[in-house]
Amino acid sequence: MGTKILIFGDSHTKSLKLALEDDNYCDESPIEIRWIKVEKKGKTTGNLSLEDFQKKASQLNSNDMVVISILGTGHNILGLVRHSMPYTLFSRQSQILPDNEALVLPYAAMKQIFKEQMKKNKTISSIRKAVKCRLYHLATPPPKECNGFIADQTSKYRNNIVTEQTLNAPLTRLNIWRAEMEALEELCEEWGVTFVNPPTETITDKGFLRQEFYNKDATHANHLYGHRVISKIRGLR
Amino acid sequence: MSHPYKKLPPKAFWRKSISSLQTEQVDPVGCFGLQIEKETKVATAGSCFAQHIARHLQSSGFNYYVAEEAHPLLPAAVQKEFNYGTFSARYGNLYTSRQLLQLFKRAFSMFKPCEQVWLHSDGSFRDPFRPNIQPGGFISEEELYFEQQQHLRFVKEMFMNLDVFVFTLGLTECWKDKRDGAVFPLCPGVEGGEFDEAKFEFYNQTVTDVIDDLNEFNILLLDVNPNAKIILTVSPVPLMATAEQETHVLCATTYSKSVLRVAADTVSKKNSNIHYFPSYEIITGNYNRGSYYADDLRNVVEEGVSHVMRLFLKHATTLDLNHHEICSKGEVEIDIEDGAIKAARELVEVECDEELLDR
Repeated sequence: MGTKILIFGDSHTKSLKLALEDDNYCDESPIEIRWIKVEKKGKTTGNLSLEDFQKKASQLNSNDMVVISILGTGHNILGLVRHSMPYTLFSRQSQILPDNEALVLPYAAMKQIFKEQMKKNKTISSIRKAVKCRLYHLATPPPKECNGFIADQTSKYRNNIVTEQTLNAPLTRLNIWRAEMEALEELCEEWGVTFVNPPTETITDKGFLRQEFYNKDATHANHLYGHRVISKIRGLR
Repeated sequence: MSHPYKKLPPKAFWRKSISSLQTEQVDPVGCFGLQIEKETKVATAGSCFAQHIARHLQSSGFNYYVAEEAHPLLPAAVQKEFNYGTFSARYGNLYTSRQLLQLFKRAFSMFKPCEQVWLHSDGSFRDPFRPNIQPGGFISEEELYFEQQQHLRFVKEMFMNLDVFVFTLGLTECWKDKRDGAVFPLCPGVEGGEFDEAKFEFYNQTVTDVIDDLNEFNILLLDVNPNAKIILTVSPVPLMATAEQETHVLCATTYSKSVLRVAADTVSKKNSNIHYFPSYEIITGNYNRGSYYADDLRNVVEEGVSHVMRLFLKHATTLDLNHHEICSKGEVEIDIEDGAIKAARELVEVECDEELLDR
């Protein structure tokens, strides 16, 4: 019996699900993808509660794998739209252009904002306790560089205030994502969870998501990205 | 028989103003010639003890002037950790009068030190003039440079706009760059950088040095802000260590505090806009039998700080103490939900829901 892989997470697992449906992986280890069940405004989304997921995951053998994608979406909330008090930040990999209007926020402070928020989330540590096998947490896809693309995709929404002009500069968005991923990676280490970076081939030289992996929205990657992630997960066996 | 002592008020006599009073009744403040009003913009700087003054001013409803405010995204805990609001700008502890003078000159482009960056053993980059300003330091030289320039712009703004500047003198001992005289809050090599005897030297300021620094600072400040007032205090916190060869830390502390106390007195008598407030005496005075110090005999306990602040508010402000309770914890959680964040949150939620509906 090969290694069983159970993937559980939020909307970012959709690209993986589509990739699985798209291709024939029958000769590979079985992969099951489930989405966190959430009740919101009388509607239910997702198909597996955290409790049921933990029960399911606890039955896996030590050579099986659990891959989660739960944290790591804060960069879009904090950084997608330009704040009323504009700010920017550096990262180790990329510098920024001086912008007299924007306040330089220390990268370490931005990282700490995410850490403080993520530390409050007890889901990962409870999953770690319930699961005996190897546990991985996926990075969320890096941001899309093209502000025009994002603005086009979001123009359909009512009262839309996400326009090319109101979006944060791409490099600022990228550096916010980097700060969040670094915070998540460090916390994963504390929780005993292996952090999985996005596949290198999906990222541009500057660090953005490559255009061929864009989903038709502001924040998600597509099924081609899902393929690459699944290949990377299989490589972890 | 008449003599000059006959006409003196009770405060001039030890028995009447010290030994016959309860600890909390002792009030060594004489005539204090400055009144801070609710609207007065009060900025603070100095050694660790100045942080207490800043905290109390903030929690007492005064216009505690913070020129370098944290971005509203930063929650209160992160602001504190990154030293936003600890003082009026993010300069960290300014232990010596020389540091204060050089900070002013750097902010107004009158001095550019040779030493610009310290590399830490953890790979981070430290600002030599505030090496502990944030946990983990800066991620690159560029980030440090840009953030430092931004910081100095806020410092400039602060000096130009403040009404009252409260400065707590902490130390006379410092580490100096032999090339240009720049002084650092920490010895190079302790929190980044490398100690190089050819470049750096220990220096213990004399009373003349401190007086000259404070006078020069006052002239420069009045030049950009003619109505600025200064309140000087001396930190009662003893030296943690002395670098003065073959000197006991207790003797070094006495030297340091004596110099600072004499200098504060000298400049406040010479300049009508400078006032000395005796927080040093309130804490170190033997009338309290050492009760204002913690077990390490170094840190000041909250009771001592409250005594200082009660007298500060009584003599230096227009605050009605009968209708005011000093609150030592003045942290307020800020609302980070900016319109941009709300919009982004809604967008992300909609997109995530759409992903689900599509499945």
